Amino acid sequence: MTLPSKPGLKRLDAMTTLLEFMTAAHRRCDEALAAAEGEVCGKNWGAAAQKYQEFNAAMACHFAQEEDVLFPAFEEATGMTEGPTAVMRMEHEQMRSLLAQLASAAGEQDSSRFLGLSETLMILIQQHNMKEEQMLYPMCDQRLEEIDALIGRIEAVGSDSGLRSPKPEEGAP
Amino acid sequence: MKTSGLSFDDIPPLDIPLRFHITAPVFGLLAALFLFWEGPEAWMSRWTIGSLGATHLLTLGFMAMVMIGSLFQLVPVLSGQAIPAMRWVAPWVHVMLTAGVIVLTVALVRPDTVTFTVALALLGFAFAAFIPPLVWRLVRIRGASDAIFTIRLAAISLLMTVGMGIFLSVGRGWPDLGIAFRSWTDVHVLWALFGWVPLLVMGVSYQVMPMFHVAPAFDSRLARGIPLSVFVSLLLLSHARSDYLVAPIVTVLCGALMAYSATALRVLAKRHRKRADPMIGFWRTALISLALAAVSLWFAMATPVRLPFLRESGAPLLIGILMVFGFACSMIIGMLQKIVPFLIFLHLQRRALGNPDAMSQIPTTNEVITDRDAHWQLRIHLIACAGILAALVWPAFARPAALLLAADFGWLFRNLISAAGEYRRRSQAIGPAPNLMESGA
Repeated sequence: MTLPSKPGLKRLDAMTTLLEFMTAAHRRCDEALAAAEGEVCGKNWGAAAQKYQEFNAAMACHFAQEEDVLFPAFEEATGMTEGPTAVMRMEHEQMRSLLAQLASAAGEQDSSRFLGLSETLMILIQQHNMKEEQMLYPMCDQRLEEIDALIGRIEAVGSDSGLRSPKPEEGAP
Repeated sequence: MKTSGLSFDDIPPLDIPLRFHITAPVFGLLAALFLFWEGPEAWMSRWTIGSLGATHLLTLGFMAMVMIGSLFQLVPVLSGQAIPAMRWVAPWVHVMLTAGVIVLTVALVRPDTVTFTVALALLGFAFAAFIPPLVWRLVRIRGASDAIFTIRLAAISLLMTVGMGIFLSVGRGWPDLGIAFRSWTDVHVLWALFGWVPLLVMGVSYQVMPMFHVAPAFDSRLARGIPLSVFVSLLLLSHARSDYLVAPIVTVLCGALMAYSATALRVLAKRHRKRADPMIGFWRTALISLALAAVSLWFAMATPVRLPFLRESGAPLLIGILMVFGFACSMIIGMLQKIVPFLIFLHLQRRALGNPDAMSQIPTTNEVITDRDAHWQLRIHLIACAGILAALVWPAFARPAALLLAADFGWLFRNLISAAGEYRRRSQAIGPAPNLMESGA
């Protein structure tokens, strides 16, 4: 995949930092979760299942971008394999577990279970994002070389902005 | 930036934040009891024993208790650095703060040198063990987001508040020194209520509102301009002695606080997450109280106009009630309904990871404190706010208002205790912790 020019991502600006790029991805995942919750609140189960799928795909893609590209790059540059990235991977596992439960709640059309799980997941995601946005991404911007190329490799993993593009299935990793 | 020794996983053991969180509503109950005991007398002015005692039971016993407990949780997680000897220090800070608030209340009721000395020593230890590591981490945290910028100003305001508090206690405990504590009390109160408290809430809201409620970010110029205006006006106000200077400075201060309230309400209204969340109600209550407090402060300090319905001595009480109970307590009571269930979930889930049988035992946050119980908390809190304002206008309503206050903190205590019970039950079902990721484990 060539270097990107997705609308709304500010990637046309060559000075984009990893922090900005990844933070935008976090916000898109948040929006997707909010959209799914909105449909569940209105008990529009058809739309809810669709929105949940989009959210799930965005999360899976973001996890893959980090676990397959960003974290290895960080570990290689710093020599820290048991440090922050190990904890971030563990938190991804925590989120995957909740995502699986959310899928079954959506399947069973159990709105109170879904909203209980989504609230828990939202808090888990945000405290995880804070650590990444406050610490890990700024450290990457500081310590890693050739951020532009790195962002290119991250985008090559897949695009969570399939959320907005005409072909949503493209979003799945 | 130093990366060695950086751990993202210094989540403190659950009992550290929880002991502070569960103790806090007990002090809220004590404040209510105290106001009930004193009756209408307490509402006559800010200098009555009832009002001084209840104020410090709420600000130190409830507010500072929760803030310190939460910072023990947050600082290691956000800064990636453990607080040294936290397991040892935190229980001592908790004991000293608890004892210190009780002794300070006794000292305010019957001022004498010995009691004030003991109160100062106890509270001094609690704050000294806690503030320096916090300030050190705030200084070292990289980057300067609007949130960090504002929280740094809040921390300086906290130092001013505590410093002035010590100075005032010395003045009351040793009357021979001739410290004019009434005029210095204004400076103490201004830094506490209009510096530390709103600046901390502002800094937290810049981070929390966009993230948790999926709302737009605050405009960065406002996000820095407002706290800076608040901070500079407080600095000037601490020195201004003439009315010609006080009026314009207070106007800037109140204008900034109202601008924050309006901006935050607008951000909240634009949130994309539309589920019914009691926290939104707590935010709105807090922000509207802040705006009302700012208007009242402006009338009281910048104009000769007297506020309607109130006695001469009523305006400072009104401002104090709006800021302490309407603004700060609303935020704290609301956030506790979120934080405590999440911490319980987090600890249980980490213990159960990799054990599929145990995973089914983990409650969601809404099962630890249900939405229904949290909505009831909001309703009771709103009624208590109304009751306390009513007592200010009709002193005969003082005792019923104290009971409403007791109901508010009693319900909070009930929610937190049942959350802790839920943790105990589930953790027995899950069994012993298999992983060693928890710090110090």
